[in-house]
Amino acid sequence: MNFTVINRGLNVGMVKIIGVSSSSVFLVGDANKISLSSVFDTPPESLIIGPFVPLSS
Amino acid sequence: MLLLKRLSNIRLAQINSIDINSVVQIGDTINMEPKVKVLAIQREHELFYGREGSFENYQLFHETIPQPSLTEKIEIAFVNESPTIHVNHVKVLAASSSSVIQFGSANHIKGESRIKHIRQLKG
Repeated sequence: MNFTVINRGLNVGMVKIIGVSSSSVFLVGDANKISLSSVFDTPPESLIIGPFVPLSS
Repeated sequence: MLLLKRLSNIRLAQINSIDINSVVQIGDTINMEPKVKVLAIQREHELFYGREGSFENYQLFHETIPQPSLTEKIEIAFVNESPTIHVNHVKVLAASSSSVIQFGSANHIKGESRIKHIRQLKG
């Protein structure tokens, strides 16, 4: 497959971002390769109702 | 390869907060691999034991994350008619958990974040 990119003039006034989080990227520029992964786990069994015991080490 | 990339021109950047394993990079990079493991415990009352818990006890911290494999052969050509990217004003409130804010070109960025969130409520 042939893929041609023509980058013409790029002028941006303002970028307002609240948060960049959990392996995300805000890039002003060019990149060859970006691979980002994020695992977030909060299953029902992670809701513990009972005395505040420390997590097992 | 990187010499062919465009120049990033930012007049003003305001970044409020940078947190766990995040990067603000001004300039070009070849390789960046931010990785973070977070064990987040949230209790109904303010209670912090200090050293508690272990990444060993949770599978998500050691399972392998599948990566997409590129099998198709692609011929890519870039024509940069303008040599610069201009941004007048950048405002970021916060960056966290192996995230990257970069003004410049990057060859390869490989980020990874693994977060286990646990809530403890009073019985």
